[in-house]
Amino acid sequence: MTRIIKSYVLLAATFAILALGVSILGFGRDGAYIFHGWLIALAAGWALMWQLNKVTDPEPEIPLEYKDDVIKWGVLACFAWGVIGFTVGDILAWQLAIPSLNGDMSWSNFGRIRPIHTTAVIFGFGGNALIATSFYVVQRTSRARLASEILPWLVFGGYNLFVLLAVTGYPFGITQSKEYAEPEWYADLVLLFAWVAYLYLYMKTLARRAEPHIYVANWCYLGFIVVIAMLHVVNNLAVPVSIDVPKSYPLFAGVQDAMTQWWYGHNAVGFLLTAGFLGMMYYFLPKAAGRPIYSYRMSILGFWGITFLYLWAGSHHLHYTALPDWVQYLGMTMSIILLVPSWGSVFNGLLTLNGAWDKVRTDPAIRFMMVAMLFYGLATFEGSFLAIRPVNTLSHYTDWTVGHVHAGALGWVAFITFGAMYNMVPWVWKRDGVYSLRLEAWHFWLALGGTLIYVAAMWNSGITQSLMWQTYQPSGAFTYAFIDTVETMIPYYWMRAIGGFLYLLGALIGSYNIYMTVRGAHLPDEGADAKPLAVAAE
Amino acid sequence: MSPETHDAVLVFSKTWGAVYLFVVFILVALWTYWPSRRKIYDHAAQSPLGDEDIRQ
Amino acid sequence: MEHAKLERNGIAFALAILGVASLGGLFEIAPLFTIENTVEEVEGMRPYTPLELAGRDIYVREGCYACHSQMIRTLRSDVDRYGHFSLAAESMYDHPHQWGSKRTGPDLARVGNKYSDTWHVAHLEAPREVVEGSVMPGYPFLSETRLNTKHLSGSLAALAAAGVPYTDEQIEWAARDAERQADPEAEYEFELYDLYGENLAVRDFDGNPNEVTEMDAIVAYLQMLGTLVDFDSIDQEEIAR
Repeated sequence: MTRIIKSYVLLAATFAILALGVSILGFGRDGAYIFHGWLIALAAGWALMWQLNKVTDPEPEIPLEYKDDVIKWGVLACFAWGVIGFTVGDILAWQLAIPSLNGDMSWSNFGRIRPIHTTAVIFGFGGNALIATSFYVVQRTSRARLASEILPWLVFGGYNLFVLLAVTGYPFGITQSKEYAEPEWYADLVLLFAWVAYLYLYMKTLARRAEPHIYVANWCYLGFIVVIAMLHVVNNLAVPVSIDVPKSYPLFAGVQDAMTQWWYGHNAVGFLLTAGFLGMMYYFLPKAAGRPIYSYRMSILGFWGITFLYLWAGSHHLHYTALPDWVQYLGMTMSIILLVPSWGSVFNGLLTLNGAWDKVRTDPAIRFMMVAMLFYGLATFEGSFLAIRPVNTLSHYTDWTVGHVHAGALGWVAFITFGAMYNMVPWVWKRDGVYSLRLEAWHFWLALGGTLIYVAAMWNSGITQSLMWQTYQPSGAFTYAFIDTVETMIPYYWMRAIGGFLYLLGALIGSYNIYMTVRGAHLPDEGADAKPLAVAAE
Repeated sequence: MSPETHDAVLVFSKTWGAVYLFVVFILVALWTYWPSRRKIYDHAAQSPLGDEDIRQ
Repeated sequence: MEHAKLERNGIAFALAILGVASLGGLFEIAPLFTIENTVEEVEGMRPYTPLELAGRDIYVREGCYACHSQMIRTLRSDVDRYGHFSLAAESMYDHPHQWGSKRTGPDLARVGNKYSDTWHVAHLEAPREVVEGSVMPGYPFLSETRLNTKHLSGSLAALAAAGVPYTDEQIEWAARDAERQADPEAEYEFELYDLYGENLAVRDFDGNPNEVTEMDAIVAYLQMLGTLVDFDSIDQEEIAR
């Protein structure tokens, strides 16, 4: 009985998305928008037919094993979006170093393709990594199969449809120009659909668990899902102009919009790029090291600390602006306190490796995760530091912020992802281990070198430019015109683009390594060292 | 809200807000570190390590 | 039965996360909607004219916020370089705000009337011909694209629904008024003043009197940025609060 009701609710929701797609392709007046209508309609139509076929089937026999097929797709999507995102990022870096590379065409200019980079990396690469690993972790720590045969596919498909709509819209100017929330209202609705399904599926799977206690990694994943849902809905409230054009106007204006935007922006960092990936760390690091997390209690305190404090910190993006001062001071204070739970997590992760340090030397996957913890510590310290008002006068609006974000994104988020993936891929595909440890090590060193070059370049350029902006002559006039400070940046832009290229190269090698692992052409190359990952899950 | 009320609320939250947060923190910390809860956590920490077979 | 209990725990847990996490927003964002403490009352603010709004939509479409801020902070080095610090009131009609987070190029909050129309057109078409060493992309296609005014009434209506005080008349005639503001003869100047007040520029902005292009719109927008508020008439003490 309930099975029937659930099928109907799901069918109705899928039908609503189909109706959205059909309306857009029917009423839409420009090419990219109509194309989006087709994409939505085809995806939703397919999902609808697939579900309808299942409704009439007799209740299927659900195998008593983990549902891992959707995880495999998540891994592939993660690497595909990663490579796209890193490539576009490096193109952008070269555009700043050599401005003529913009091409001066609407679709190729920096402003239009920058969100492709941020969306492909944050949502495409990061989001798929989280969806895939969260499905893996929740099943293993609950000792239960995912609670639905249909929902995992709708979550994965709907989510990637959202990312696809976003990145294909930007070159055609479909954007609301809210940083990290650029997609227009109809893409936001698709994400909302996938996200509600994700939350429901996750809760249902947890409810099936055979353990009394919910393992802390799931707390982090659940925090990520719940908070992103809240942020996404509130920050994307908007009034569409009409169904014929993609354009909408956000509901809030000025100060309120700015505060809502950075409440969203900062906590996309806090809950997508931090809490979610901490969940990844709390499972894959102990698993790979063969040791339990150093202090389980500290992980709980850390979780609640982060959940409480992060949401207050967004206003540190708006120091000295027209935002009321009390909100700025509150944001600064909370940002500084935030260092405590953040570093608690860092030490917790690193101390877990006590007694397993030999593996850091021999296993690049653990090395990835260890360095990720170091970068997490660095980036959170830097974040609290930059949130202090006087420091912020130096860093804000400059490349220092860009460097800070990339220390976190390249060094923490991507490193922990690569570490987890090099473990998880052989487990889900039931391979003996990763295709080549040597390539894995190459990936590691290229990624580390690229990150360090990138971050160092941005620190230097940011501080240099800010100091130049603030330099006065004795007469009271500025020493440097704005354009002087731009010209000084060029060598740093080159350096950044080279660092980014190394990182991209590493990611390409990593993707090849994953691809070869999946293909199963396992080559036992480096003798005994080749199989530290053979601790199979099943 | 008049400026005076605004200032009063500000002073109140700066003082008692801090006390409140501190008390909540102590309570959460006590709850987490309460000795009798140790067993639960020690058991949970082993969760990723042990046998991972599905149980239904 | 056992199952149901566990499930309740899961839901309670998710609600606990939501509760703890929503505190920050409740305490920091909700109070901002008590407008009188957040947004000062100043003389001169008015909603964008349809042509300026079309220009702003282009600014949004091209993602200019990625490199240009529109927020002059209260710091001396900001005020000396860009002018009076930005007031909350100045972005009260900005859906979305474009305060920005990065200054790869300079702040634009008060760029209005600093340069000539010709300078803007030449600079947007080929930045490095005007400013040597600039890293800005060129936007020659704006001069070649006729401004699409068809959806402007819908835009004004949507903004009105979001709280911008556009009148029914302004909404109805948005497309016509956009054309009128870029009219080289300024034939309907006074009709526009009646609708939007006298603090607006009516002229051909892009140097091409034959048609209204996207360049007209973006230049009209850039030229009015930061020019609305009359800073001689405002109470400095009130702002200091």
